[in-house]
Amino acid sequence: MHIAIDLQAAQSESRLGGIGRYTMSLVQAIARSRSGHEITLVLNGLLKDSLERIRSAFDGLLPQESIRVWYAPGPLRADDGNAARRAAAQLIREAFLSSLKPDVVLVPSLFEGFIDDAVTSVGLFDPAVPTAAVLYDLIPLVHPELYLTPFPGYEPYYRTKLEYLRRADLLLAISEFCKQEAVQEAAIPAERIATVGAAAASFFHRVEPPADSHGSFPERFGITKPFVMYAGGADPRKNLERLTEAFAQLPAQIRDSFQLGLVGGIPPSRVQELKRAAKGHGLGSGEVVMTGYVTDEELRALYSACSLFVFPSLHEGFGLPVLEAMACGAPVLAANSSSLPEVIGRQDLLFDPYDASEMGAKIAQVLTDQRLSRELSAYGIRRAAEFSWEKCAQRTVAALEQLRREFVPQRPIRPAERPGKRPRLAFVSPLPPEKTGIASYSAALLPELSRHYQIEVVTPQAEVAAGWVAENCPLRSPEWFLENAAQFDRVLYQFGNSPHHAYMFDLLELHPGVVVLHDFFLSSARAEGEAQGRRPAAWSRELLHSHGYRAVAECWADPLAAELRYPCNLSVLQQAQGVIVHSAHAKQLAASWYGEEVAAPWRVIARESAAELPGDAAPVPPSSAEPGQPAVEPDRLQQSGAAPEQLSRRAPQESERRCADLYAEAIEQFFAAGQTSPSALPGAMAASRALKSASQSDLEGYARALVRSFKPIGLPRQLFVDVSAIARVDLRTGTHRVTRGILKQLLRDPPEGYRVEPVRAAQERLGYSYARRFTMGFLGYPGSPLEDEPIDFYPGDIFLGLDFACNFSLAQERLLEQMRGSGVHIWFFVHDLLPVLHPEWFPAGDTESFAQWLELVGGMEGAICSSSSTAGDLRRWLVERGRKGLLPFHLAVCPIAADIEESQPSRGMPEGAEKVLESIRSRRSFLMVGTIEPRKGHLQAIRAFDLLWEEGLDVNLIIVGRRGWMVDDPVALLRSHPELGKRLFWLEAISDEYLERVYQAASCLICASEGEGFGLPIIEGAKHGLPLIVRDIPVFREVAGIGAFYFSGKEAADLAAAVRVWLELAKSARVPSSTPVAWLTWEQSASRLKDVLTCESERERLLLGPPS
Amino acid sequence: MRFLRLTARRLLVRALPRVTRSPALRRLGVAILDLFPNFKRQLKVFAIRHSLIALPDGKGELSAAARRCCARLAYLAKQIAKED
Repeated sequence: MHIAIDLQAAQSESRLGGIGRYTMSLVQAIARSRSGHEITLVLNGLLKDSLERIRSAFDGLLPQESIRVWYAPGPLRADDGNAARRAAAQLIREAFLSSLKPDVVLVPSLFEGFIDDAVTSVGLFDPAVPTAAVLYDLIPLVHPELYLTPFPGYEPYYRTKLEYLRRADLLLAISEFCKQEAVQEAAIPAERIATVGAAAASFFHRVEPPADSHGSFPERFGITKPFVMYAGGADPRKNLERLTEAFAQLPAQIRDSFQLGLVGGIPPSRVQELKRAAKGHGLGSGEVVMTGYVTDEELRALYSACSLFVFPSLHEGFGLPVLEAMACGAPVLAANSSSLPEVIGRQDLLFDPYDASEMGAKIAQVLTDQRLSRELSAYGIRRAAEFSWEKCAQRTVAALEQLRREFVPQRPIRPAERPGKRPRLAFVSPLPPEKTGIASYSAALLPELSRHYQIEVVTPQAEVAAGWVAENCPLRSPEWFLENAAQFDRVLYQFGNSPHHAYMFDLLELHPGVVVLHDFFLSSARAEGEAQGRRPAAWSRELLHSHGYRAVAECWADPLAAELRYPCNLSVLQQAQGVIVHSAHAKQLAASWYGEEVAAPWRVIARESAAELPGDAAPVPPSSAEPGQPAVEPDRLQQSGAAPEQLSRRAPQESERRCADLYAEAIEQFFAAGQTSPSALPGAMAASRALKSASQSDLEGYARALVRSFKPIGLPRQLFVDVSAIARVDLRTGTHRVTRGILKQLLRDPPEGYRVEPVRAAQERLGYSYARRFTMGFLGYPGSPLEDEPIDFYPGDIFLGLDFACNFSLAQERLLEQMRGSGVHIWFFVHDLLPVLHPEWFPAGDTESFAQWLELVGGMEGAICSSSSTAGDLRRWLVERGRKGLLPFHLAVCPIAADIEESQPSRGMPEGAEKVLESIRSRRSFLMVGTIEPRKGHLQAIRAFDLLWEEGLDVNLIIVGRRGWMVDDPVALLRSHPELGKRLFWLEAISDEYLERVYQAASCLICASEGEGFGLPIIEGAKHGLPLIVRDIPVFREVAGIGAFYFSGKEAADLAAAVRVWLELAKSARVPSSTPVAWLTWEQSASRLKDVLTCESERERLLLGPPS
Repeated sequence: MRFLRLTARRLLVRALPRVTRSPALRRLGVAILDLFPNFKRQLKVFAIRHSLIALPDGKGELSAAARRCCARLAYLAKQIAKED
């Protein structure tokens, strides 16, 4: 059984009260003991602050994918100005629940949303889904004079919710009393109510009072003596005045020894009332203490510390404080009203709540009889143990199972149809004299289909040369239909793969209907529009939507091949209310291209029953193509066949009749199913008047909410790769090479089931866009008409912050948190932690931004580092600083690669390059690669080589890298160096092609950097067979291992000495070879990255505390 | 420099929450940014991050799918208006 549970009661203002606690405890218990049942938790995205807390509370109990979020535009609190939004939100919520296809929906609290953005309703959208709701009490209904009449704004709200409660298929009462009350007061049949009970959280057990710096623990609340305790609300039915009266009637020696503690938040006006009541009963100040709001820990300690717990309430649904107090070992007395006798389980512990004398006598008895007090304490613990959330969960699941077995679906809600009249059908199709097979097919079908519908034909044709059609069906232009589609009860589109159908794409987008897919491939119909310039970029956009970047790239390389290879029809399949095809093979094609889910509901109306048009001219829907093969088009068949009129006349009537009957049956079936699908939501919203007087901004809000809540069918998961920085400017640094290298491989070979989507952050607002212009340029097609568009994200998508875009990511922090709340997995690639570990190497301000970025990263799902050293740095940093995320953090290592040629290298050799290369080859040349930054050791190297040149060594120092920051000294030294251009070369901002040549020409690579996250030049040098002289730091040891000659020291002499020793070793061929240095290709690196992102076993799971 | 940067940020933090309401303060905010061009980027990030100049959640440009959906809703809203 699939149970969808609406968890808003754990998100709303109720989350801190009893209903919130009940909801979390019950649902966690259901999740713990779900025994094969599928559980989906459903959350309200407007209550976004609670999303991560709830995800965290169910971590380990349910997969994160089982927590789903729906969205509606707010605010939604019960306020007249929000009525339309609330109406829309109720429909969105119910449609969302329905879209999960649950066997049963469980609503732990229907009475949510009066003061916040929660919304609940029952039976507004899909009555075919049985709904069960927890019933806590009907106190406002029973006492309207206290809870409804004085609050005119609340009464209609409550009564609406009560109506939803009555509509629920099953009520889960928290006590037997509650059930009886629903039967008697709300006239709900007893057989529709199951008692499931309640329990105290396991958190409530006897504890020693915590140490307190101000004396004993209760003293912090002004309790200085042993005390009689009450906990809970303070509204009149709680009967607190009578409790103070009873306390006042205690004998003086008892009163002198005890205080009365009223625990819980009490509104100030009520505090005054209670104080006046206490004073009126003769109680002095300090005899009654009101603690105000206490934490759960404090409440537990107070339960454990009190001498007696008294609960005098006149009316409860259950009375959870009684059970909590008993679980903590407090002796308990309670009123003999409503549900309390069920909870307390003993007559002798009950009193008449209207009789203060009796209440006082009972209190005095327990306070003066130590033996009785101990006995009640022990009894309470035993009694509380009889209530458990596991038992509640079992009873709840059993009741839901019974509901599922016995539920009889009601007739779906459908718009009122004109009784006795055939539904009005818009038939969108080309017709004769157009020379297409589908035109003839339609002409033959229409007379018989008209037995079921009043048909009007939508076609751009000025005239129709099919006699019956022209005489019986009004002709409507597409423009007319766009404006008047709402007049129709049904819409039927006859789609084929020719330009004759191009006008239908726009109509279907705005006015969904049933689609007859005569050709599975619609690529030609799409391509034609783009080629003719009528629909610019339409084909490219649809190729991208249906098949991803690879298809668009192929299209640019060879349009005809792409047209034949890709069906290019996903939008049509998504927008269709239902699809009719003429062979099972078409269904198979859809399943193979887009997954089983897409094709499963399709209807096949076989060709023999679909107007058996004559001979070889029959417009036989082809659907015989394999992926990569074009479908045969009936239009083309038609071109070699008989005239359309002739075809219509020759069609056997009986067959057409049968075919029309099947069509009508399919159309009605799709229409009925469509009424409870997300595509029907806009119509339902309109019918509910939610759209009445809606502003453009309201409509945009609804549109955003619908798109975010409902993922279209057939769309693979998305792997968003953040390219914000490189899309703006490619600095050709090592970091950007990593971005290019991995992105290229991901685009070439995406993780299975994912579509790779490079995205870039908007610069001055919240939002990421699909980086289409960048990506097409990256793939080598800079002239593509595809434009950047805001992204849509869905649960299960992955966001990878591959590019180092610190400021962009920080600006988008709230959006990233929203995405994470929705179920998007957010990962970042962390190249190093140098700005926080060595702030002296970076400009002021960078460290601060970087630290903020690391905090952001720490709050997300995980980080991927290029080396274990960096992963260790990050782990330590997060452990020391804490992190703000509640869910576990994941850490993984994914080494970067060395094959420059696979990193989309830049090309170009500047003038004079060959001469420089010749100079490099002419003598022993030591190469340094990397941006000129303080940490990179350029100054040390230049001065070291000054020493070597002074000694007469004839060697070159080649520095490759652009100028970075805080490097005035080395740059000044470089620019004015007498050896510059002779034996000292600075190749600034050279292409990757040139760099490859330099690697090939050099003799040795020097890595003098004092800090790196990986050391990309090491593996690039090793790949080119260069010996390595590297600084002895942990990350270089990790990357280079035994394949390098190591040096230490920060003085020029230290490096000069190392080079000298190395040169000596070189004479006898004893320098360490770089062969042992392991390096990956970008394909291998990306493969590792994909494993990390898609496979939990590839990551380290860290449980880290909050920020210190 | 640190002093200037912090001062600029403080001013911005105070000014920008009102930016959407007060054209004068908006001009002041822009003027502050122009006075310290080197810090413009960081200040901008700070301001977006803390909702000072960013559009409220969910507002802004519509995605392609949302545009299509909005067009349908607008059509239906227009029909309701006609019926009324």
